[in-house]
Amino acid sequence: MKRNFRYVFLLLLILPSSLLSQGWEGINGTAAASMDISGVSYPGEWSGFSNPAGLAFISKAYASLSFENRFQMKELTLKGVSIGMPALGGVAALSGVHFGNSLYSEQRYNLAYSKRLGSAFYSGISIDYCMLSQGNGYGNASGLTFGLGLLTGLNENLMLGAYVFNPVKIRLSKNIQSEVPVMMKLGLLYSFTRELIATAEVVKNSECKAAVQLGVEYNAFGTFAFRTGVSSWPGSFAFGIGYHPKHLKLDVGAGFHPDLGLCPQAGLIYSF
Amino acid sequence: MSRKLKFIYFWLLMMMQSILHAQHPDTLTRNLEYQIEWFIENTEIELDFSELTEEIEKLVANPVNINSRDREELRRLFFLNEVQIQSILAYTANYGDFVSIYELKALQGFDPTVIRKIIPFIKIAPFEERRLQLRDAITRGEHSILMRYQRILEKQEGYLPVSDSLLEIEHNARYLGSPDKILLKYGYDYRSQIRWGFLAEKDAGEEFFRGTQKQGFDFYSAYIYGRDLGKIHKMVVGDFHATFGQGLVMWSGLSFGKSGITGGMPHTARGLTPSTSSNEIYYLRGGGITLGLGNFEISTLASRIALDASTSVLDTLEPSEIIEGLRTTGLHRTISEVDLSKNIHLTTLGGNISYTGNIFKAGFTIASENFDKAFNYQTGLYNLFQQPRKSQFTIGTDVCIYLRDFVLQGEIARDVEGHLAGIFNANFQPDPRLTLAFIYRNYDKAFQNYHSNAFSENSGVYNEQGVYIGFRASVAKQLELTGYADYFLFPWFKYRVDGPSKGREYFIRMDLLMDEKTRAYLRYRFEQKEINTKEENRKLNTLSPRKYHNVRMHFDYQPIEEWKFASRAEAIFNYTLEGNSRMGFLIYQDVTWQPFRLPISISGRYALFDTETYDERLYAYEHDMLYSFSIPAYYYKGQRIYLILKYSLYKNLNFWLRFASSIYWNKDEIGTGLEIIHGNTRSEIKAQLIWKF
Repeated sequence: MKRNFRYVFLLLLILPSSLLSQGWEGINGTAAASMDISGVSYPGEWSGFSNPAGLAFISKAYASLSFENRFQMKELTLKGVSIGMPALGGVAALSGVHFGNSLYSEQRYNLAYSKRLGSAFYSGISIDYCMLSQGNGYGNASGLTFGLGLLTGLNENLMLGAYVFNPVKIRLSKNIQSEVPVMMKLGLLYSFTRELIATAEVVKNSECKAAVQLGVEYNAFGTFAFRTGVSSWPGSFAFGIGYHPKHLKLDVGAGFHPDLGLCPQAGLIYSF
Repeated sequence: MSRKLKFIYFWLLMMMQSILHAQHPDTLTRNLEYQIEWFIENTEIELDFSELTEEIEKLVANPVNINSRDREELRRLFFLNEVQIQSILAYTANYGDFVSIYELKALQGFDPTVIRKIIPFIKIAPFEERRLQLRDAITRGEHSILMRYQRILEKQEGYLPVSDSLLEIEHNARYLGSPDKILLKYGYDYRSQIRWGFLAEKDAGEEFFRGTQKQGFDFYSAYIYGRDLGKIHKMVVGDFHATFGQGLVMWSGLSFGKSGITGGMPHTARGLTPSTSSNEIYYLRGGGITLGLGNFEISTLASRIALDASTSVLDTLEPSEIIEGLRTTGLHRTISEVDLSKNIHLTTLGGNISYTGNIFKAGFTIASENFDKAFNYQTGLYNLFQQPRKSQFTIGTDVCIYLRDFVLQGEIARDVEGHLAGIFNANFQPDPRLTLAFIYRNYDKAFQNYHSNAFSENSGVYNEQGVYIGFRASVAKQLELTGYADYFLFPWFKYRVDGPSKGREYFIRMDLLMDEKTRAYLRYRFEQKEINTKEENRKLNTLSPRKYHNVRMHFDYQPIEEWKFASRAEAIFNYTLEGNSRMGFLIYQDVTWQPFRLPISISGRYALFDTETYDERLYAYEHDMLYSFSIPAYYYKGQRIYLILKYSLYKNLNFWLRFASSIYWNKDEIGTGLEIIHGNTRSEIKAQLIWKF
């Protein structure tokens, strides 16, 4: 345990600050992660974190699990769970993410609701509960914030997504550095064909440099999806594969950073 | 950038026009927003641009009858060039009245883009002689009253309490007045033919009806203007603007220069026009008249304005006051600012004679400027050739030729000491889908004229040579490309540039018009200029290039009725002399709600910005109340929000309320000098009422 603590401490010192507050950034699902995008214009079951407006694309109740590990370090693992269903004329989802270990962890619980308002216009809102936990009796700190998103078809092939999270920039505790970052994202999704889509997004996190992220997904044989993408900050790339038989979506992928290494990802979605 | 206006837009807007009365056609307004955004990006001067909005408003309220056979009336369509005006006049002279707008298609210079652009501002009515009835002119026009109030909510240093003992030592330690800014404006307009108006303004920090401002407001302005009064083509008394030729000799108002050329708002001289803005510089005060004699027009003007300047007494046998520096802010907030107020006078006499033929227009302009005190600037080498003269006398001649698809324009001017400035500009439209522009300018390093305002990279018309090549192309129905390359060199030193220098700028913009409610553009801009290298051990400065890359993507969309959205992301990369790059970034989301059933509209923005230093700042146009403009620079790191509400109390009575706030995350102090806020938030509240009757 003591060794672990030192390990985490060292990591916090040497790794880019972007590694901090990873939990509060949420988990965007394996499909998005294996394209190295956040998924602001790529609607799906994990839209609660990436852009709540995207939930409205879901037609059936679902349950989902997602894992993302950073650089093969046990302490830098994101674990997420999400359930959602059509409700109140739209789609509602409850998601949670945990990042860290027993000594230091960040958690975000997200209640999101999305509704289609026009022929190709979707909007979404989320209420987010962010928590920071420290072990060894240091205790917890938490705060409530929100996110707003929209998705709109610019024409029949092109969709635009925009999302802002935590515009009020909450701080969980006065005593320690615990500001939840403000995030703003703007993305485009272009469908070349039913099988081939490409996304481009600009992501700004108040704690990091702005990033441009590009991703491609190719659906083949009806049940397989092949994905790849790049991100300008922190300068990484990713790829992955998905198997989507009836009711089930099974995705695996990996991200790579030239200096920091490998980030394995896996996810499971079951639609009822 | 001429953006195509689709029918639905102006149909909708014209409809709202009748309902809300103050909504203006989108394309031109958006164009204007874009121009102003760019103007400020380039010049960093915040001005009152209300004259331009007013112009558009007046066109909407009172569209131009294209059968009027009146050149002055057609010139109100200020985005048309002389060829286009000439071809309308020739058509009506030869074939009689237009019956349908579709007839415009047959005319030279009218491609579908131009036609779509002018449709909201023209009407087709039978030709009738316009005879001005004095009684109508005075009684049947429209009056408008505007009241505006604004204030920074956080306490700035200049308004904080201070002990009298400190004030005694430091007279300028605090502002004299309150942080309120107040504007009052009254105007009368009869068919844009007879106009008069009055304006009073108090800036933040200035006193109000007491102390140094016993007369109330700090700035007053008024005008009376008439047009088409028989032989008198134009007449103005009070505060006015005069623009002739290409602006080398006389151009007292605003000019968009480079951005205008690319943006399809040509640099067209409009002769005498009233000054209705609160800009405390850049206007003339006195009177002017334009007489029409056949194809000739003769204008004369006389003006005397008081300016702010620091002066000192020259210790010679006959002591005389000299000017040490001109102040152009128009702010009189501290004792020293008040002391420097209006202590010199500039007398301007000018004239222009012009001839308009079928395929050409030629003019000759003179301007004489006299300060009532001599100058003695103690400045660096960079101003060696720009020591201001007490008296200036400048002459210039301009020509404009229309040859089929070509428009050739040029002006050459000579100042009192014989220094020359010249500009030549060619516009070629080989195909309705392609416009090419070429501009060459050469301004002597010693050319000096107070009221010059022409196409330039520098802020003034001197010390510059350059070539600009631009184009605008409709590549496909939904795709429009605009671009230019500008190469310039400065033969003499400039501020912080110790040597002759050169630079270049490239620009390209791609507009995607997806449908009548959805548009997007992608823009890239590159600029390279030489500036001093900062090396501590060197006695002599050397020059090295500084490069900027700027990329922007912008989306405007209206996915559902009553709601409009805009999204933008923009980045700038500044390659500094030391070889490292610094980045500035801005992302924002705009939302506007305009319910059909309620007399309100609400608009807001949330923006995140992150720039490493002030040098990477980014500018963005913000929604504001009618006739008011806000184009702040986003710099350092933080967020900005604004919210604006418009409420139409009655058809002709509109009220606006606006709140804007910036939070800087890495600052605990904002601003400099007396403007400092001891905190990380700067908020502003603004309210406005306009009543038309």
